[in-house]
Amino acid sequence: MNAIDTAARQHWMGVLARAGAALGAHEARLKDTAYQMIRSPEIGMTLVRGRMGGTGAAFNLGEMTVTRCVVRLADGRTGYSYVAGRDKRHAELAALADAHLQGRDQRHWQETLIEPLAREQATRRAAHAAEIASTRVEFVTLVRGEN
Amino acid sequence: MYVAVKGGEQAIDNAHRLLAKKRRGDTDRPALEVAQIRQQLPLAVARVMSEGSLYDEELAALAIKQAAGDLMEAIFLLRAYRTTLPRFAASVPLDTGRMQLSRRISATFKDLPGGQLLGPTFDYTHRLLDFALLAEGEPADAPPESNAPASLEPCPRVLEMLGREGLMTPERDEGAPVPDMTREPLEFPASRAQRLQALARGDEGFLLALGYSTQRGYGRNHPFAGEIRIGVVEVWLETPELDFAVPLGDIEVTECEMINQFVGHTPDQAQFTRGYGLAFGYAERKAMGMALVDRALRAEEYGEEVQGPAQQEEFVLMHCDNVEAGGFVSHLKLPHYVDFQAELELIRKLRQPAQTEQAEPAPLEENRA
Amino acid sequence: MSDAPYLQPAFERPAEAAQQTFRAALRALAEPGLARPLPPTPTLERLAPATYALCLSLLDADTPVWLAPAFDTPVVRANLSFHCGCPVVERREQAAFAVLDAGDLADLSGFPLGSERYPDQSCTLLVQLERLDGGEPVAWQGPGIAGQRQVDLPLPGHFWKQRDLNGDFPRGLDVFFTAGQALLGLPRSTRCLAPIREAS
Repeated sequence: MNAIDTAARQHWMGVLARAGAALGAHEARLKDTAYQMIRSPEIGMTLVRGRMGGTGAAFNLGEMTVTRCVVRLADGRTGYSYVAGRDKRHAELAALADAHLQGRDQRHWQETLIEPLAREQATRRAAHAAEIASTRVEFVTLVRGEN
Repeated sequence: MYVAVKGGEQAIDNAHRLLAKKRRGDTDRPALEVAQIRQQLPLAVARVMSEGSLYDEELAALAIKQAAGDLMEAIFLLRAYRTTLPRFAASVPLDTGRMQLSRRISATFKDLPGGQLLGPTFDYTHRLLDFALLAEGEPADAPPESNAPASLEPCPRVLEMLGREGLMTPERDEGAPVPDMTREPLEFPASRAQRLQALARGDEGFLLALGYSTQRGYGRNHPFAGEIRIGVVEVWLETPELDFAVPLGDIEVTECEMINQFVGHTPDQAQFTRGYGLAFGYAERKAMGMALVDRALRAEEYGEEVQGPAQQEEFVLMHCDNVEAGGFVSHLKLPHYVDFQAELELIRKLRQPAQTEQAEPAPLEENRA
Repeated sequence: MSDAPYLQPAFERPAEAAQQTFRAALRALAEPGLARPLPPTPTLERLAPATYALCLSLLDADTPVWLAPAFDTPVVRANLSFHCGCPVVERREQAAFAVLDAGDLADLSGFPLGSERYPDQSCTLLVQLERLDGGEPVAWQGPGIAGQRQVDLPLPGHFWKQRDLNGDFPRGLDVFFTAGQALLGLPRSTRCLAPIREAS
């Protein structure tokens, strides 16, 4: 097993967590391996924290639903997922993908799964940003008492 | 004293069936889908998530459908559901500075880095009913035209810009443990972290009214809307089983930072103070009300005289939760037959001597008989 | 990531198994001295199925657990922390639950006994035995027992003395004895008479 770069793993876990239903298209090949459920998909909550003034001490804002899953492939690689929401299939597929991505085929999975998903997500984000940018205003102050 | 009553199972079943019928309305109309509520009533969904203290758009939409649009009932449903779920861990505190913005405005600086982004807002609408929506089909409005810059510039926090000049009381993270009012009951005086948690799940109407009361003079603190941000932030989770933090997806939040009257022992130390509001979803009014009340509740910290209800911690925190408030008011509908009989007897006894002396008419019931 | 190789599957059907176990635990304390079967659960190193089932059902992030040395291994720590999310504590005084075996019963001091006001803030002991019978019979009395119940747990004699020393009702220790797939409860409210010696 290669030493896994934490930043790279966090990136793919983030992409997988955001992928939602889009992972369904890859179900067949993600499951095309022997694997064992170490923890079947389980729905629970994460206590979401904010910071006072956005940058100060932490406080509890509320909870959010999260589904988590852990799988182990035949060669011992263990895949984890924590994904927002209550979609057990999403959590299982994300955990499988995490396991596959830690193996020798990492590059293959990066190119055929993570990168396309990340591109799609970036495109959506850019389109949203462009829409919001179209509402940018320049307020003009009308000085009192002139004329 | 509570005395149990029994009976009425059939009537109760029928009442629930009638409620289901009322919720469904005219069956000639298609039933409302949860997905429609989620997509088309996003602000109702946001309120239910915030005050239900659980971020899950689908469940909030379901609760709204089940509650026939009664948002407080929907909030209650979500609160009840959340108690059935295990809590895996706490998130890394949200970094709202890295929000993917849908809206960002400041009432204190006209020109600011990143600009004023109106986003989808009711501001500047004329509050005229749009009869186009009453007609069947989609409204005629075209999607937004994008002739402006195609991307967003970085939007630094407005209050930090004041902070760099030393004009704003700083926020510090001392790394103190974060109290959780859902696990350890509130005790007074509460910490600011406890207050913010209570306000975050507090009733929007109550917070709005309290905020308004400070503006009208009940604990004035001269607020300016320093910055309001609405958008999506990524949530990161720290779990003991992995030795790194895990990103688990995005949630939408609304943040409001108020800039308030200044404090300082000497004029040259004068600094603005701040109030903070944060809420799930697109919830501008809630976040503003919360920020106003947060600042009002800091009166003692700044040595201000406590004059208004919004500054009274016990009053605000014990009454801001609409599930608690609704529950205690609702309980008045429960049978109090025995209680009331006791009162009735007492009042009759009290009146007895007066009646004999002045030969008043006999008690009401006997008159009727 | 370091824990990953140690992790093993736990309950096959977590919701059902945890509910059944919880129910059995409630009944075990409601009717002290009666052995109850628990749903099938894997073993975890030296943790027998019943002990592990109780851990999986009762422990969570809010329940610090203390492990007797025999159970305190990297695999047990990793799996309890993974499946239950519970902190494993070093000092008995911090524990809401403790996992012991028959060899640990000579000294039960140090576990929280609760207070007069909050007797619930005591430590609950999970004591794993080889079996739940075959020892010297002891007569149990108290809530949940009609009259008397003879219970013949294979316990060392000093256990009963330790139990007396570490209890001042309503303060005290509640105990679950486990063996294999079975469970037996001994709440603090049960009075246990000295082992009955056959008059010879």
